[in-house]
Amino acid sequence: MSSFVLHYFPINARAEPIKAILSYAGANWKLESPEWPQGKSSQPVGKLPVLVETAADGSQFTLSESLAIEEYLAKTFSLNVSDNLQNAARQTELRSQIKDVWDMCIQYKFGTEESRKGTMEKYAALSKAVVAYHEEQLKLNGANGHYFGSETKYLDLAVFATYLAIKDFIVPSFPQALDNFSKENAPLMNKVFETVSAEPRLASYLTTFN
Amino acid sequence: MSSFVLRYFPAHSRAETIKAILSYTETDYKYETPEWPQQKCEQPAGKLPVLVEILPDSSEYVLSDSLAIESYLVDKFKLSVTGDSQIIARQLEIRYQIKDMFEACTLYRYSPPEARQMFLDYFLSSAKDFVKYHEKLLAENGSNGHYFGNNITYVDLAAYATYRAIEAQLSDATPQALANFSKENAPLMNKVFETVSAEPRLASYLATFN
Repeated sequence: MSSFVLHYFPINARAEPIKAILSYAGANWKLESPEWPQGKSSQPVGKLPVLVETAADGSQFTLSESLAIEEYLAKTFSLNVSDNLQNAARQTELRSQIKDVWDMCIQYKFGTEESRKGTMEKYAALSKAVVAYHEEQLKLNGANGHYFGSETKYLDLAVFATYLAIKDFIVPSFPQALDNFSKENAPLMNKVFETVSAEPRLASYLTTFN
Repeated sequence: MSSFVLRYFPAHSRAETIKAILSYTETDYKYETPEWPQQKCEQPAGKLPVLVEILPDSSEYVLSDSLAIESYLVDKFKLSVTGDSQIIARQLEIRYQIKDMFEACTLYRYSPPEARQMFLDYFLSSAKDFVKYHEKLLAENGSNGHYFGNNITYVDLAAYATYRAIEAQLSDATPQALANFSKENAPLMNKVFETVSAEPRLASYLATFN
């Protein structure tokens, strides 16, 4: 059995989906936070997160890029949707849209007072459009608290974990960030949040938010 | 046989890799440039590019997000590297790093005057780290003008097409911006560019630059 080290900052931010997948899968993993920026040059392209997997024979596999790490772990732990090419692409599409939402939250948080005005407007439009599309997709899957099928899989975990990350890391400086994701505005996405948060296999991950 | 429509702006920007894939696979497609922003609300989550596949039974499969579209076409037309999940993950890591370079380029290109130098510095330092890592990967594959094996695969096309997109975006910017990608600083990446651009099946893609 492999063991995993996730290299990331000690914050609940971009790597939350990775942590959720590792926890849900019951993987042997730990978080390490490199000294920064001293640790920059040890990473593939000077960025985090980075995943280092050590196999039973001691060989190591190093991987950067959050979405590449997520997909690799989803495949490794059979959490990927896999029934057909169209659903696989749909999974990537929906995941990318949530990433776009996150990236814009970051743009707001680290922007100037001046730039924040424009970003807030763009964010309101983006989050509204993404929620509308996700609600539609969730309805097509039977409004059952899952994006695909009837079991918790990669996308369910990634979307929920991003929601938690926005709540924890973004909302303090951007209170409106989750307005379009309320129960009223996004009932089926909230059903995903409830379904995933009730998963016993996620209990230990959820304690990291206390 | 399916037919395809690619909806995007009339620009060399985020859809270049999709165009290169369609060209390389000799797939006929119609290029549509929707009225903008009038036709924004007709797109999934209000964004372009969008791929519409019209299947033989006349039903339609609609997909947004550039990387989701790419992954769909790559799987459908078998342009992925073949190998175990770690090789597949490496391919995706490479693709996301290439995408990050493009995003850094657009951040610089559209930056307000007071932030211009900061975004240029970020683009330049990212490019330096990116080139170092990619030159290493290319050397490990035998410095043969390919990221994997001896034939053109997905990320060879993505690297070339994204470089053309970055070039187009920065055409009137400081020449310093592209210095990290010169033949001198990135010889093996340039070998990929030469190999891909010499491929006869890329001719229709290359013609879009006239």
